[in-house]
Amino acid sequence: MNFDLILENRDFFLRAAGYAVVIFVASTMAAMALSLAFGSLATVRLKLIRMPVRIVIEVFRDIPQVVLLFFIFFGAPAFGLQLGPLQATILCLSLWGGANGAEIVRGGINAVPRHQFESARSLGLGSFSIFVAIILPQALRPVIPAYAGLCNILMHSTSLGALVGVVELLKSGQIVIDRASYYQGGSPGLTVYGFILVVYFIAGLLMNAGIRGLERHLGRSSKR
Amino acid sequence: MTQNLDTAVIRTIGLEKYYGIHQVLFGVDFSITEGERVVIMGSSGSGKSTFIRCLNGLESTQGGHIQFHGRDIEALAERDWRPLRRRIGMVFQDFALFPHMTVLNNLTFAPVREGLMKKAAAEERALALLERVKLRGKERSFPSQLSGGQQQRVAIVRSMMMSPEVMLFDEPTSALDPETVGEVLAIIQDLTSEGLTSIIVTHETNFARKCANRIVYMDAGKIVEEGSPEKFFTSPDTERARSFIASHN
Amino acid sequence: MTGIAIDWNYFWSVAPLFLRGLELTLVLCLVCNGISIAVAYVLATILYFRTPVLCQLIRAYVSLIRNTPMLVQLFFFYFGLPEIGVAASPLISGIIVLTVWATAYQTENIRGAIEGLPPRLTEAGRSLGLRPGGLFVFVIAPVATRTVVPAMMNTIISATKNSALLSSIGVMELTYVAMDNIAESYRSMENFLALLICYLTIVMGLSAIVTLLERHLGRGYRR
Repeated sequence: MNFDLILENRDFFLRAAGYAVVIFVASTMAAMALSLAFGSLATVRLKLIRMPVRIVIEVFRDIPQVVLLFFIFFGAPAFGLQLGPLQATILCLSLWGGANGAEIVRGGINAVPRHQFESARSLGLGSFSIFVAIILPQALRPVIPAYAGLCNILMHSTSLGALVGVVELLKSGQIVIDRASYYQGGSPGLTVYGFILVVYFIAGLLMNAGIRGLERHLGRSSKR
Repeated sequence: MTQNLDTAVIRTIGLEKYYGIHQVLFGVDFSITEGERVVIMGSSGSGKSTFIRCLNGLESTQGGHIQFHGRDIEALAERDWRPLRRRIGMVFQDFALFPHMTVLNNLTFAPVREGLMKKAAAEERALALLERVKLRGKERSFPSQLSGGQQQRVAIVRSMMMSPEVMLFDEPTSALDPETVGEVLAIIQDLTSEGLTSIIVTHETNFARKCANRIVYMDAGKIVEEGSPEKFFTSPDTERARSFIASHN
Repeated sequence: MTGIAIDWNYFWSVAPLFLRGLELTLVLCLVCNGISIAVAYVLATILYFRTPVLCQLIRAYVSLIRNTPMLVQLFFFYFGLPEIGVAASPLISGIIVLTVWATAYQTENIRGAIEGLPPRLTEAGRSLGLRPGGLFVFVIAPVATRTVVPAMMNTIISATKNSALLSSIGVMELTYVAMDNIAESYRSMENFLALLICYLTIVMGLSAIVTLLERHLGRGYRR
């Protein structure tokens, strides 16, 4: 084990972690927007809209993330779309997260009792304002834990970027190992990958603590 | 005192129970002699359910004694409680049948598994007990296919498979629909009418009046009053018992 | 937009390659999920009985696997462990990592199902004088198994999809076959279409099994 290697490459790892954070934040935001939009569309009464939306969601959920990533990165040029590794990774995680998030949101909306809609209608509210003001808030609070689980997976999935050449944590580890074995001999894979596992583990703990705090906060404001 | 000790099947002396720092039993002195039917009443939170669960070793206690035929059993290890529990049957509020087993298997599983009965003998006894609670023909059904009252009748005979000396009933009708309460109470009355020692925690005042040899009234983790049903329901000594009776009639 | 046109002749010419990849993916799915479920039951049993030391070790293992990316675990195992002299072929490494990954999730599934059982079930068994072993094997485990099926199938599906990650260390499963074909022929659409069909078939097949299983297990049981 050779911990100096980690310290020597501190700045390199930090920059890589920065890329991981960028992928995570960007794709989480985009996924959230997609989840809300598609999750809502998947519950509309009109079958002509609902069915295609549900099929698209299902297809995106059923294919492995890495296949989706390769499709976007290697396949997109065929559609006239040339994406760099970073953009491709963010787009992949956004679409994947959006599809899985949409399924979570759909479940939440469907779990809101029907009479909520009917009683709001009897108050003379329009469909759209009923949906936004009455249904959505009730639908989203119970699905926060499931959504938090999704965010956890998205954080882990930033490592997929390595497979298309984003220098995020995993790729930075690979590079450090290659350099070390070229200049110093040996292969410090255990140390470097072990270090990266620990970084992800700690980041996960921090994020879970944050989510729990958020849940407590929301829980408090709902009870009164 | 020593004289009483000889006839008491179960006796508790100064029994204390804490949940963490929260005390729920404040020195309960109780005894039941062979063939007695004691009904424990009290408002919710009075500690009556906790108390009866202590008698089956399902709750640890932090002070006082539980005696079974004069022997201290409160500090027994789980392993040593096991043979005792076959002599002290327990019925729960929510039946607690094994959902994946047929009625017959619910009855025969424990005695056969623990090697106390041969399969054929267990089945024979099970069928006889089912006959007695008017559930013959339901032995192949699963619990979910029965009504609440039927499930509770199965639970009662399940705990009687090994011919216990004492039966504990923890609010056996609280989880039932009003229309099935009567059938379960009738079964309990029938099964215990031949002198089966039993302790019944219930809110059913009519049942208590008819069937109990003695009423024990608990409040705030203590026994505050006990006596015959006539005495308890017509002229209770304490104000707490009076208002309890008034609110349950 | 010429790239989107599918060359069906090429498509059918690579079908045999895909069938071989599909076979390996299915074998991975079967082997890794089979072993992981069996081991997870053992681990969940140890957790249930609160066996000292072992219990803490299992908790640490489950938490470590569930809180780190599988791809990093895979690299740690395949490229890292040789540093201390532990080396295995890509296929064996892949099977080990995927199994270890799935086992952690399945253990958590089973533990959760057991913890979710009404405490009265255990108490009823105890009050009937059942020994803990018999109570666990014949009551707790079978009842928990019925409630754990949906979560367990989810993990099976996730593990099967994650087998695609093994392509990154050279296991020649479906994704590897497709990427290899693309590198050779530059025909991405045909290969991605084939890949899509294969994965959709697998996942939908597994989902159909879930539905069947739930219906079967629900018989004579659900309220």
